[in-house]
Amino acid sequence: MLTQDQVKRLLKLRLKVVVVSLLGFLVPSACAPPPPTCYVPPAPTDTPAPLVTCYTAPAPTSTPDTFTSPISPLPTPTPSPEARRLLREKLLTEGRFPGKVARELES
Amino acid sequence: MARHNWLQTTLLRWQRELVAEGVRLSGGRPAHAGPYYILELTTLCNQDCRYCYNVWKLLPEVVTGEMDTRQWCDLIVKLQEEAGCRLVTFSGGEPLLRDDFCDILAFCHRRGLDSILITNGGLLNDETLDFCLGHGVNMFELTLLGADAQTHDALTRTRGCEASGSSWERALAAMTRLYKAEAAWCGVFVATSENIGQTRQTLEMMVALGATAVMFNRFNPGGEGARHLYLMPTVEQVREALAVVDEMAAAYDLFATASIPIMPCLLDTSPYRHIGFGFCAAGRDNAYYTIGPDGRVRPCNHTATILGDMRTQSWAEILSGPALDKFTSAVPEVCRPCPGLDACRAGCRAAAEVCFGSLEEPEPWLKANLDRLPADTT
Repeated sequence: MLTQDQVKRLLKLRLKVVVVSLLGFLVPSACAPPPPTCYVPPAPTDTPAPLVTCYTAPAPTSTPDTFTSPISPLPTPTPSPEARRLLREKLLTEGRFPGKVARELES
Repeated sequence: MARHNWLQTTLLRWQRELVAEGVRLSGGRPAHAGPYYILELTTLCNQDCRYCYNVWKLLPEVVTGEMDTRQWCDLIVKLQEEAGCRLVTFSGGEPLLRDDFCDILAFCHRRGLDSILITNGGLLNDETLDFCLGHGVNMFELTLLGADAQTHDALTRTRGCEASGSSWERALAAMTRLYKAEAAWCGVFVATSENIGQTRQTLEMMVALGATAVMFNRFNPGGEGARHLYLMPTVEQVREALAVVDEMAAAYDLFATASIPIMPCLLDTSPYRHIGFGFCAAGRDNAYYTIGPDGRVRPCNHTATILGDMRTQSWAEILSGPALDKFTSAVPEVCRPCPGLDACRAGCRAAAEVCFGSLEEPEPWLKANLDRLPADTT
């Protein structure tokens, strides 16, 4: 017998499957570029190549509250692009990039 | 950037959560399933890295020549038809050193293949990048070995000149081009005893330049690297560096992987929840078969084991020979009683083979740390 919590969690998962599948189908570009679910081996690396096996996703975490309704309100964007921009500015300020690269980034 | 809009970010996060729950998605663009195919287009390289795993640097007999454009194209057709290949990874040496690289890439594109390009970035100018982006390269893989030229160039043994810049500057310039072009790229950090202390600073540079993913690869001796075993980091160094990678992966929503095996008997990787740990895939569904410059096939790009010759044998014939079984079933004595053997596969068999001449030897990082194994296995 499933507990109420388990039932809730299953329902949330099912909803996400539907939404992700549907949006993924309708907006292929949204799912395409970066990380495929199965991490494509950056293969060999020059790095040593990819002894990469299938990407092991992090252990399941509880569903963030912001996703209780996938339709509305819209989830807030993750801070990643902004955090990256701030990091880029910090490194530029600290002079961590060589001159040519810094000029290119600032242009 | 456009590709980081809320919709995409949200979908990717949900995908990850669902994968974590063991749910297989049927919608969206399908991820490429293995096996994978690495095409080592050339043995030539414009760098002389001390950590290089290219096996021919230690065992030149592993490569008997270099195929021309026509032979590569024939081989690619054969790979598609006989092995069902849909994605190729271009490697070398430095693949951009081939005059016909664009011809081979365009051929793959015409055949409907996606590709990944592994390059040190030194030759990735705007024109080549545009060509790659227009011809199916959907992931670039570039290495950055340190946060300053001195550290990076000491490992590549390639300082460059004033006009072209050092190998560090050239790698960063290529990463900047990728960032400006909004291309997907993976930053590789080869962690050695000399640069592992710069893990954070180096990854910061990759992240700032838009890396989609980062690969933290502990130095795995082989090829030229077998002559520089002192570059192996200690277990403590790797532990500290993994904590940094994990923290950064969480902070910047990065896909982080440790592709070179980190054996659980040496280091418990469970605290690093944002890093995907890879183990030897040889012979499995996610294997990355490697085709050398002469058309001969190996189980992976680190090994000297030859499975067969694509120019004269069928793919089925190559896989059914005894060499693959021998490679995948080799287990060092010390690992046999280990309950985690099936997952860990005793680390990198190829490194043991190349460095110590036997697949049954413990691999170099394990051998250097045998005194750390649990008492019941020693």
